[in-house]
Amino acid sequence: MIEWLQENFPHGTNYLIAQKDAEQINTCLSKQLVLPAYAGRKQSLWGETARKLSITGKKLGWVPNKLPAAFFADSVELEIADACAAREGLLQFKKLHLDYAREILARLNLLYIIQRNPYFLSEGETKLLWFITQWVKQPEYLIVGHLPSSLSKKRTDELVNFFLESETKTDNTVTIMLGYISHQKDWFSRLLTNSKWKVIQQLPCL
Amino acid sequence: MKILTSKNTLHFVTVLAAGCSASYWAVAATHYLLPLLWLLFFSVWIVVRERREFKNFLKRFSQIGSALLVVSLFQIIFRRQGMVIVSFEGFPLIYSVGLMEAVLLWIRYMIIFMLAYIFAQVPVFDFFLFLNKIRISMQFSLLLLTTLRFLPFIFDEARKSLWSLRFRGFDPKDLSFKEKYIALKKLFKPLLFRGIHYASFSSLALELRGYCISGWVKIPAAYPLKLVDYLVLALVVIINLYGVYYLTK
Repeated sequence: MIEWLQENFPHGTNYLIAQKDAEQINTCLSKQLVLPAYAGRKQSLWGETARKLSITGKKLGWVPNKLPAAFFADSVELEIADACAAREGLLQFKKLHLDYAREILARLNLLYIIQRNPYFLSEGETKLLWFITQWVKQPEYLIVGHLPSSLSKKRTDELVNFFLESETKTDNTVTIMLGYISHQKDWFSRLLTNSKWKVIQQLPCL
Repeated sequence: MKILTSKNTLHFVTVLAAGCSASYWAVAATHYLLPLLWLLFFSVWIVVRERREFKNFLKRFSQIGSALLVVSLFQIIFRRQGMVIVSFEGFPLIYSVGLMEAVLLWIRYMIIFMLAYIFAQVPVFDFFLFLNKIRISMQFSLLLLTTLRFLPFIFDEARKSLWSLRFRGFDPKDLSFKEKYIALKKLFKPLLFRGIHYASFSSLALELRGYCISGWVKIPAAYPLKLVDYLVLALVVIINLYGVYYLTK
């Protein structure tokens, strides 16, 4: 899957991909990433497909509208610190990971949920937390099925700002891919004028 | 309004009657015939009822069957009574009693596993209706059913957690022993937390719906025996009568 992405979406540009509805890209990715690990029995849990997921997971970040995953930590900051540690192949976080988690939460104006249990977050907050855990992995590709789903206009704008700010940083290597529905142009209009963003009118078949 | 129960499954009474009879004859029988008859009965039952699952069933049962062969082998080795059936250069290897006990033991276990499989196919709601129809207290039946419903929930949550762990880039198979322990701790703690949360919310939902105010509530659902149930029950009665006749002969 990563090879396919590298072939169709070269690095150096971020992408806006047109889709028929808010779930088109997510459904496509779900078929590739979630279903093989869920359908069937022992083989799908421990077999080759499941093993491939960990390799893909290192290089790919995905933010669906409906989360097929679970959180491990007791609080939002610990969850993000855990995800930071995972990027370095560690199962336990260090102080620097915790500091980074606090920093990124501050950047996204999410300090008010820092001590909250991820299980009790609202749908939008859950999506934001999952987004951060994917972002801190610093994957090759970060795919967001439909950014405004479950998020307020203010939050969506904050995230768009976050993407635009991140582009200016030299250490950023993530290629962002955002799905959009053509009649909802208000949230991504600023990205259209940015030279680092390219619009793809049709989702290439995976 | 009458709630409809699942059409494609046998009545719980049918399953229970067949299960009790088979268990009794599997233990009481001192000859091959009746346990073999029950084994055949359940095999046909599963093949007919679960045609799509037949391949999986065959695979699983051949695995269990071969594992049980090892257990049965001990009977052959240590039961040295009856007639010598096989000997090697004058040394008796297999005795008739040992062989019979080994075969009976294998059949008994196979019947138990088949029964577990058949009971697992009964929908939870049908089981709940059965308990309701025989006027079992709601406190007991709901507790039992919550426990049953809890297992798939825990399995789903565990699968979710495992997926999350993998999507973070960890493969449990590649972890060292210490890392496996940490990963397990990571998976188990939220699982327990979510389990307790699920249980408390289910309990609250039931209380809010007024369950357990009285000991028993009549559920407006029909749960009749169907033609296929009568046929299976008739077959169960015939095998039982034949067993009694065979025993007293």
